[in-house]
Amino acid sequence: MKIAVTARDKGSTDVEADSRFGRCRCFAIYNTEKEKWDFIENRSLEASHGAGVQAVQTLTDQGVSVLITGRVGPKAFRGLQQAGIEIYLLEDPGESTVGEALAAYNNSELSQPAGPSSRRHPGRR
Amino acid sequence: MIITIMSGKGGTGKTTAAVNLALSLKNVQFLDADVEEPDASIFLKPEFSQQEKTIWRNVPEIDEEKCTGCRKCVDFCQYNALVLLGERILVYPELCGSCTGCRIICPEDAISDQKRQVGTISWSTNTESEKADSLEFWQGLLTIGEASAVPLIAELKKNISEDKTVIIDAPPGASCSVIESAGGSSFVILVTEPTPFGLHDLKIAVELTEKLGIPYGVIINRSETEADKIIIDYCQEQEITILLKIPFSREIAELYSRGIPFVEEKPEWQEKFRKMAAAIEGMTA
Repeated sequence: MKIAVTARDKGSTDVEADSRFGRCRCFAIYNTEKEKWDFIENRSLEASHGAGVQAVQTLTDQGVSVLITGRVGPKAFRGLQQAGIEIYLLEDPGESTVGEALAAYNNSELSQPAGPSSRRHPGRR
Repeated sequence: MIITIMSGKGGTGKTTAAVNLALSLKNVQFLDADVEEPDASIFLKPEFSQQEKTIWRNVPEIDEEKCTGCRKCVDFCQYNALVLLGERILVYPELCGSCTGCRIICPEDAISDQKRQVGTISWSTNTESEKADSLEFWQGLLTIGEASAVPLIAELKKNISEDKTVIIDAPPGASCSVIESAGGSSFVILVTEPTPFGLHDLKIAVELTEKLGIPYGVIINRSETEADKIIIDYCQEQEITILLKIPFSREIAELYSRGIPFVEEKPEWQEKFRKMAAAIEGMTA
């Protein structure tokens, strides 16, 4: 199984987790069978719109089945559900590293959202 | 003559300039192309009555029997409106730009057109505003959730009457919807305010108008002698004509807040707008 964590950088599990899904810098993807991390850049970062939707495509192509992030917008939520990718939300993404985020998931500390995150865009309240 | 009123920055006074100009001229057709938040009707008070039509656009519908999941449409789509999940395509119609490319590129002929509402267009050949001399009013209203205003603005502009003086109130910014609004115009008026933000966004709007190859000039709204220097210096350096200055006045602001175009209370301004229109005519000849 592959678990994706939205990350602010690549390289190691010590990088900060990113609260954004569609516009995160990188996806840190953990393969539970191989017990190995893989970091890929998020190509939808520059998309003028539909970044979340394109990010769903990226995760689907990578064969990811679990996503750990800060929040998920309505369009991406719909896509992730259709794709059968489970969503787990970090309560304080700026406070966790990618490695800590995975540990929190493994310890069943993360909750699954019933619907899209209420803040429709980062920065909007 | 078609005059489009643009501004880089929002809230600089596009609509103020557009409606007061419209009320100073004869035989005007006014198009409110700021379809995300059309508000010129508040000032011009058209009688829309039943004159409204719904505008549709085509979005893809996938025939799952025929679709092989080859992904060609997903890779082609520049709007990120299609996602391949396993062997099934998920369509996001709200993101689709209606370019129809996916229908052309699909090797299985599995994609057909489905109608989606873009918005409405309403119009009126009369307005309640007493100063309006035979003013024809049109506006588009974008459906909430639609990503692009372009198809609606294109449809709105099909109603242009070339025999009138056409005034188009464009959306703010310098995006596709602004380009769609201004394209084909004889002249562009760039409304700005004498602030660093106003100047910053004016520069972007100038760059865009230069690319469109349309002659243009600037109106400074909320004009004050000292503050104006920031805009005047730039315009002199770039050899851009300043067409008009609308003063920073409490009276104008109060009229605005009550939905009254200031030329109705200050008729001497009609002459100023008429002179400006004559100057524009000279610049386009």
